[in-house]
Amino acid sequence: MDNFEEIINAKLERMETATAGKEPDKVPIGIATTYFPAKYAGVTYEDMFHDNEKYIEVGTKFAKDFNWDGLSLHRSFESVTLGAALAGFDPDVALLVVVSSVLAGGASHDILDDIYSSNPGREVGKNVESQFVIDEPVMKDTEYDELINRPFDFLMDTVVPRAYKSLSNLSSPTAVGSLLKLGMELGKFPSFLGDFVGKMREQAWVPWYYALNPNPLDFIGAWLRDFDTLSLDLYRMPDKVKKACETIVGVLTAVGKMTGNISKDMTGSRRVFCPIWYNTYLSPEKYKEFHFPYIKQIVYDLVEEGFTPLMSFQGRYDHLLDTLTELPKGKVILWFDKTDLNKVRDVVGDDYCLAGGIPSSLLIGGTPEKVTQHVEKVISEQKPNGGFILSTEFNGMGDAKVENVKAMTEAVEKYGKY
Amino acid sequence: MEEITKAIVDLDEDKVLKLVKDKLDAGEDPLEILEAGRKGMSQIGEESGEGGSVFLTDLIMAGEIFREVMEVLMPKLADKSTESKGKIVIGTVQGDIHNIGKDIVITFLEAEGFEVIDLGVDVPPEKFVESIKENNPEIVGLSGLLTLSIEPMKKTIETIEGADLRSNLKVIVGGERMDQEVSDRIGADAWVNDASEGVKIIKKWVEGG
Repeated sequence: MDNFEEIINAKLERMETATAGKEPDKVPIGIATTYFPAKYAGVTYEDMFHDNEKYIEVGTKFAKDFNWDGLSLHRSFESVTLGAALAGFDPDVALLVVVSSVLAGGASHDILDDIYSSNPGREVGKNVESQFVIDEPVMKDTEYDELINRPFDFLMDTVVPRAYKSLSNLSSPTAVGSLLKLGMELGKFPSFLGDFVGKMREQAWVPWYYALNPNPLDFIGAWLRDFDTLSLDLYRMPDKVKKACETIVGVLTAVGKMTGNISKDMTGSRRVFCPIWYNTYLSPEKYKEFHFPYIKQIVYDLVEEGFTPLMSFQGRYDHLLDTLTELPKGKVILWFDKTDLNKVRDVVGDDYCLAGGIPSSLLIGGTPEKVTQHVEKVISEQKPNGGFILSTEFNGMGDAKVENVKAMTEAVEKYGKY
Repeated sequence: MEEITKAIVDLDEDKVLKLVKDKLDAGEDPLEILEAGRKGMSQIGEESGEGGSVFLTDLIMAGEIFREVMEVLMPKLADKSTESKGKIVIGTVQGDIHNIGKDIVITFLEAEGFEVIDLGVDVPPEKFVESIKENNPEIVGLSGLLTLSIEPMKKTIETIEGADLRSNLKVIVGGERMDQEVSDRIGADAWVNDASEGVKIIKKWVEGG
């Protein structure tokens, strides 16, 4: 596309207008999916994930053919623990380590042999999506004080050896050799990222997000403990959990800002992905005590620096809607999976931007006619007064039918104009 | 005994364990203590689900307390058999390695007195078929957190049908991405987004005959 910069600017502006709760020229589409584009291009999930040339090939084809206002080809998170452990040593090295899985694919998983990710063609079949599930806790319930009192050293000397099998004995040849190998891979990332972003931009690509800010409770649950044990900690040692959240919130926000700057400089997008995982499973009391305060702190910090938190409330948020109006109006995107957008709108009014509306099951099992009808309905409900971005459930459309995704895209063109 | 039930509902771990120990020391019947515990678990289950006041982290804590109670009671219960309410084969379907939803369902089903055969995670359709042949359950539960679990669920149900085992069997599917449309398409008898709803449906099936 010759005029790609013009189109990119129009997409950025459309999203920013919607984010501010106002009416753009048309309803924008913002979606995160790793594997639907692979399916669309006829490439295995394994190749999409591990082969950066294929990743670029698939990404550019998809970006060109669908031309959404925001598209993220999400990858993985397994290097975040190692990155966090290095944050006190050198923020730039730490960032590169985080980015090695978040933006650059499977090399860090293969080298570090982590206990978090199962990837296509490795732990799962070549056409099965990656999954991120901690095998077992890498921090014990007796170790909260260590995390609180000496976070970086504790992460490095105790957690990292448990989380990465290659680093289980940090002074062994395997560990030193693996870190050197990782270093060699890290050296390639800047040129890969430059190449990817450059080629994608030629297809007028704007990321739905290209930056990540985890929050403390989800970080402790998904990277250090596991969901079951963290649930028990909330009852057995509530003060320690809160103190640990307070200790790490700053490091996590730094990750958000640094990746946010990469995104801003390379793609023009100021959005920072803030995934929120455990909301579904917490009572309102527990959510407001252990989860939301730190999420809110991150959001205000990011907004103050000029970023737009893209808050992905995964699963269900129905029981927590009253928290939303504590977030800054017109400065955040509230993105929902299963929560009814009309109920959200009733609570927050027209000044907030909502994203969502398309259930995965519709794209997977529905027909183009049903998809078109549904898009028309969602748009008729959410389009008035602006502040709406059409989206799907987070990373939930790998198995969607191509004709349904096309129908969705065309229906937004047809019904989404202001 | 009502105190034990209430302390479980309040998720007061220390109090439950102290009460159980005191009752045993006082020579009370362990079966009655178990029944009081089950009643508490049942009440908690009733209060969870859509619009309820109990959430998954609470259910996990309740499951842990009940597990601890059972640990204390087990040696004393060894010679007393309790009747099984029904038999269920359950597993997370092929390709999906998430266990939390499945495990909490199992804890609550066991607390309700069901016999549960847990096939674990990433379970291929053939393994479900084998287990159904071997155990002859009334109900099969298929769990899966992700969208990618939908196709393997369908394949599992088809494989069960192919082995001519479907007709006397109820199949329930559970996971965040489940809805009526998915359930109809893959041929399940019921679907749930949360664990306690699943336990309620299974109880209803068994109690309704």
